[in-house]
Amino acid sequence: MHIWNIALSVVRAEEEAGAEESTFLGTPFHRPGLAPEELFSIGPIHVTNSMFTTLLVVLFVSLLAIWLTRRMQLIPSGKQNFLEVIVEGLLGLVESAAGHRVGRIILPLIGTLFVYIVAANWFALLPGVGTILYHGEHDVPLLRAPNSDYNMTFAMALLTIVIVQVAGFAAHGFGGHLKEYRNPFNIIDEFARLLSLSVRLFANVFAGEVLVGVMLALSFLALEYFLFFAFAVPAMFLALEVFFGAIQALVFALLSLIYISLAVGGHGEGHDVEHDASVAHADDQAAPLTQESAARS
Amino acid sequence: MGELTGALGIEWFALLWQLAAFLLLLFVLRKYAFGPVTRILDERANRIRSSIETAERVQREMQETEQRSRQLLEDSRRQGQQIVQQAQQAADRIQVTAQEQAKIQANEIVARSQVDIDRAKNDAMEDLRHQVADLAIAAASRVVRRELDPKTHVQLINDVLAETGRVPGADSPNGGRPVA
Repeated sequence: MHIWNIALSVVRAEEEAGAEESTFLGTPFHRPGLAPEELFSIGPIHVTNSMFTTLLVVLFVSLLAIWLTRRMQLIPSGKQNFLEVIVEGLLGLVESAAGHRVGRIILPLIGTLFVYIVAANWFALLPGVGTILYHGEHDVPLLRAPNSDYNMTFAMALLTIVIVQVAGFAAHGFGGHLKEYRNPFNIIDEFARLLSLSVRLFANVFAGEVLVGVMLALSFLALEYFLFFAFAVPAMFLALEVFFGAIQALVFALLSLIYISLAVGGHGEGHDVEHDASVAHADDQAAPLTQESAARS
Repeated sequence: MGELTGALGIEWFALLWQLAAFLLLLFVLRKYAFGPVTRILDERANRIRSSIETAERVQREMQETEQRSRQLLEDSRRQGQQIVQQAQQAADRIQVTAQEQAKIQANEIVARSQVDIDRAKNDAMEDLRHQVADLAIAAASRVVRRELDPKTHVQLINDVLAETGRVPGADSPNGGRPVA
């Protein structure tokens, strides 16, 4: 309940601030709201800027993948090497956690999670995202970081948890996996995973957006006094965001991988220890980052 | 709850849209990136494994072949030596045999000639004895000028012969007795 209240207070503060102004400190930099901004609506369907950006990123990554895999050869060269390094790295990671057979099956999911989150996070750092305005009913940014839309991160987390359940049922049979939920804490666990996965990514990216926006606004205000700092400070924070964008992608993909591996491998007493150990380990990795993002926001 | 979802902008359509976009990307990457690349990685791994296996097999075969050829060479050398040795032995044996045969033949020839010589000598001795006997008889008859009875005659001859000494022909089978 405590967390609930914090969330609500953040939302209320957001709403109060949003009512007054939609830019940072009176500068031209748009201050993103928690919710994605609506571009236009067709009947009951609201098309938002994050949907549009998502589509762009998906198209870009798809075309890149198709271009990279054209005329693949057994002896790789150039662009094929680049792709193979990525896929081989992910394959090694996935197979080391989930084993050869399951690893091969879930590689596309884990790999797509990683690639998409990295691409979306980095795309959001390009100039123009959040600053190019769409002149509709209101002036709203045309582009918004896809992962700063809770719908996006929740969709991915939901997909992961569904896959986790499917993997559990496939590995242990219907009854075998259902037995897991005789313990109500395991049900809570699944919901906690769903929320932690989605909120972690959303909060990090949203906080990053706000942080970079604030820094840009401050540097804009400082432009006439400290020219060097005006460019150096936002550049540093952008560089940090490049790093965090990749880290968050890795965390999301790694946690999904661990959840699936646990659902496939770990049932019963002996596995529970291992289960808890790996989850604790994974959360340890994620914890400093979430704390940091919490501190930032 | 409604307040929170509203503030976060959670909507069914947006959720489904983002999910669909992600699934589209998943499909595309699976079909164009992860599928082909893992396939090509596996194929390359298999190719490398089979190449290494082939190389090892070829090397092993080469070693075997080399060993076999070395063995063969060794065998043939040994056989050659054996053949030469056998030939040498055969030659030696033939030589020995030939020498022995030659010796035997020579001995035979010598023995045969000895026999011939003996026979010729005997014949000659016989002839000589006959002639000596005739001569003695003739001489005796001239000296005595009378007829002796044959028994005394022979006795007389034999006495003469005994007196004139033994002749080598006395060893002949007839014991040197006069041929009547």
